[in-house]
Amino acid sequence: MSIPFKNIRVRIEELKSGVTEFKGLDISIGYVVEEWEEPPGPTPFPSIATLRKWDHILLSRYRPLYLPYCDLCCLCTYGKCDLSRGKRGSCGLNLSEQQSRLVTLVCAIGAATHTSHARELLDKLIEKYGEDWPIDLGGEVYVEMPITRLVTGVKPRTLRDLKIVLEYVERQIVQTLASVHTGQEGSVVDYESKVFHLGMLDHVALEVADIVQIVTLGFPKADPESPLVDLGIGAVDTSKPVILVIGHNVLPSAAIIDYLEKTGKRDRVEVVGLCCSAHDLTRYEKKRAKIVGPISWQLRFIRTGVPDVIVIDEQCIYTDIVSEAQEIKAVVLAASDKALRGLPDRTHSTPDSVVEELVSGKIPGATILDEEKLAVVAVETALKLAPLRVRYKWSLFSEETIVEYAKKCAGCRNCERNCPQNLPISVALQRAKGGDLLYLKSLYSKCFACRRCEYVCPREIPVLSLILAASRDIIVNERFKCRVGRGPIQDTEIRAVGRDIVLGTIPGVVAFVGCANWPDGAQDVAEMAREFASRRYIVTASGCSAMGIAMYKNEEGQTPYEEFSGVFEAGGIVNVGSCVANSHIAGAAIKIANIFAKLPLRANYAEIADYILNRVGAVGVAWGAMSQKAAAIASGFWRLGIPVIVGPHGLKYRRMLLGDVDNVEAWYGYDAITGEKVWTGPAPAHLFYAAESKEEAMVMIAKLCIRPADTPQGRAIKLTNYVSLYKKFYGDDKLPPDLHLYIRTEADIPIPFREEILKYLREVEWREKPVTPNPTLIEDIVEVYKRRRERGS
Amino acid sequence: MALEYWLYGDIPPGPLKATVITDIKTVPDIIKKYKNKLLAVGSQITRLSELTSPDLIDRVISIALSSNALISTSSPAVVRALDAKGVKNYVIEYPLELAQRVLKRGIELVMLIGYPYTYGWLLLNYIKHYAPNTKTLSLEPYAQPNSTWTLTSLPLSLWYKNMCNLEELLKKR
Repeated sequence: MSIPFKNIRVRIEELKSGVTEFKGLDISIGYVVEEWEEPPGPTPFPSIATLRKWDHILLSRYRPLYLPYCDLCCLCTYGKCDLSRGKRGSCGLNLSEQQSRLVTLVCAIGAATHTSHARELLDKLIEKYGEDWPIDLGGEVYVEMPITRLVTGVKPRTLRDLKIVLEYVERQIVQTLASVHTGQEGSVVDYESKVFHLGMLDHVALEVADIVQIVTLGFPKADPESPLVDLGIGAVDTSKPVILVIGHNVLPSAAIIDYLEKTGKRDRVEVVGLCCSAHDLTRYEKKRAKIVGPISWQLRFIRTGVPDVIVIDEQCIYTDIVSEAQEIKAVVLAASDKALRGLPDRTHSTPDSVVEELVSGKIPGATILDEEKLAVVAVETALKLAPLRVRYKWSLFSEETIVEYAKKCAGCRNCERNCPQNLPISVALQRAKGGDLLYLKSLYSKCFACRRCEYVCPREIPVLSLILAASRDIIVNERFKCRVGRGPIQDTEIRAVGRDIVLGTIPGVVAFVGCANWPDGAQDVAEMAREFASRRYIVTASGCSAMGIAMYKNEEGQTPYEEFSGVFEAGGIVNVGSCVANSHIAGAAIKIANIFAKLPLRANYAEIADYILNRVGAVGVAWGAMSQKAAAIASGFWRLGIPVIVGPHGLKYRRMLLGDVDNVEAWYGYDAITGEKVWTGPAPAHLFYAAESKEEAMVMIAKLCIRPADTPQGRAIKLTNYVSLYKKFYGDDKLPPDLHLYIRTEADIPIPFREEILKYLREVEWREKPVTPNPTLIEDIVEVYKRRRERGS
Repeated sequence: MALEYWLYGDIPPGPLKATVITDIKTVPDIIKKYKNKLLAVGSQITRLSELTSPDLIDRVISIALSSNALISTSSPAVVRALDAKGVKNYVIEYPLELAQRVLKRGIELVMLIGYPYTYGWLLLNYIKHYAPNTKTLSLEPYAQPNSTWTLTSLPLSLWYKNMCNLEELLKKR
């Protein structure tokens, strides 16, 4: 246990004196934790080693498979060290340990970033709304902040209560990050356990960040019918001055909206967002603000010349954005000290003087670390600057210019050799020379606008600009509808579906999360989401993936958010919101264990995670995972027993967590009631998996939703999906080669394929296996269950 | 063509680097040296086919058959082509699950073709370090320094010609 404050904590069950009487009082020096009705759980404020046993159980089943990007270590001056083929470096680490160390470092960066974001929101919103501001998520959410309750044991009632939670997270991140220093941790499993720890901390930070903004800024509170907003470059009204906000911190965006409303200028200015700032902007101003697109749309949009003022807050912002903005004579305002970008600090200047400097071009932008002042400068600059830069709006190259540039191409292929997507740019340019721009245009959906092609072109061809210019008609028609991020899942929704999820009759919860590093464009995410919603899975979404889902229309011209309901139900597509709203997806899994199964929530991490791993068929899909934050989010899901699938770029995270499906001995657990050792089957088969193709991912999603506790009916439904997806891609005469491992009794066999499967089972000499309704991987849980039964709870 | 033979989006990873094959005629000798071998075909083979020739997948299958190599793939297009040809010596297998099984199966030579560049890079580096007795041969159009042997990076038209030549060379043996 790691008490995050002052090292003194006094718990008084009952105290009577002549003047007063206390019951259930828990006191720490400097802070008083208010008691709640649930008894304290076993692991409040866990430190690195507290949940190590659970981690090791997971890691003994899902072993790390390391895929080193580099065979060297160059982190200290002992090195460089060659770690190839069993060699150790000067400090003693081998290649596997170094990979696990790097994964720890990556997740520490991600967790620190979310925590810093949460800290900024909490401090600033406390300053604005006061410490006593209640955590009220509306009438349908009674179990507020399930992750925080589960991890820390604190039931937060006001913003003040979150200070102690965040302080704990900050201390633990520092402690865990220190393990990456030379000569600290030296064990693969203990490094991986630290990765899980960071992931869990990250989820607490996510939850704090999102709840703080929901309760103070009027975001939707678990609203399944949150409004639909416009998404896409084509949806932007370019006749007005355009303010573009990029990043993840909503406070500058909210201040801009407030200022526009206060001054009656809202109708005169278009405010649009990219990445999570866009999600949160639309959660704040639910109808008028627009989403341009995911993070990979930033250079695309800037190069159209449309934005007048670009406001950057934090995370995932193109770091050379100032020079990109200068090309179109737009200005950049930096709102966070984490991303100052070399811009002069004008926090203490008068808004008028800053506007004058910006409009006259004396400075390319400014840092303003005061949201309200930044809002004034952004709006007034946009109004003055827009008329001066009309010629830059939609200033993409003409077809003639594209051909002229293409003619300069020497065919050296440097562009495609440096393209992270291996796009055949050189082929496209060769065809463009003769005026055929179709191939160049076909690259638009796959390119994520990193500019690496331009940096290496010896003829200085602006390749990205050529792709954009060739795709002009696609860009102007990018108009979609995205549901505003709704935040948490209602307790009533959990009650309605909890049983079916645990029994397996709802085949799974699939969460499409994370960044926009999609291998083949946004449409793949939309297709996957649509496929699983049509199959009556519960689909949830967040971040750039939630935007990707919107960028697809069915034959009736509807986007998935128009086609499917926003309710957390079978066949629903639920956009929870920005990156930090991922906490509500993890929270929903926790709530199923707590609300439906009535497991104690308070500081009871391992038992709940074990329950989720064995019974809740949830899978995260981060098809375009790119960032360190995405790694931290994924690792939080792993510790909670939820598998994560990433796209092919996700293999660059260097480590997968794979179960050994062929090893029968690896898949034993316990019956939580009898304590008997039982075979649970390879379910879920893997905990972290990078699929090479969309088809592989879809089959794997269906497979990883299988859980040991599925009822025969539930298992049959899950296998129907697994088998039918497999057949869809590989042929009607095919069955998955591991199918027999998932059939325990004949009752598990999907009815549509019964005869075919029975024949197959005879061929592989399948034998019936027992169905275990109460599987657990934790031997100690048997005793816990026994005690509970004895207490009658 | 730049002097570096690898894709310089990804620079060579360390001291153990592939032997670069500049003459396709030497490849059959390498392949024939090993008995237990496998050709892993990635989903990007369809994109390469679009950029070179519609018969590319057929030629890749022919290379595997002439080499007497098991085909491991999860590409629906390749599975369809294999079924159309009546080929039985193949498994539908996901690349990471294949990587897990390389050691268990005692595969002596893994040949790779049609994977996203970095995906192939990382799979090969896993095999290089954790299955050191398994040799790897990259038949990709871009060089893969983590393999034991790799073809050099070539324009797709030349690479396709090499694949055609390799098919013929193996058939003659």
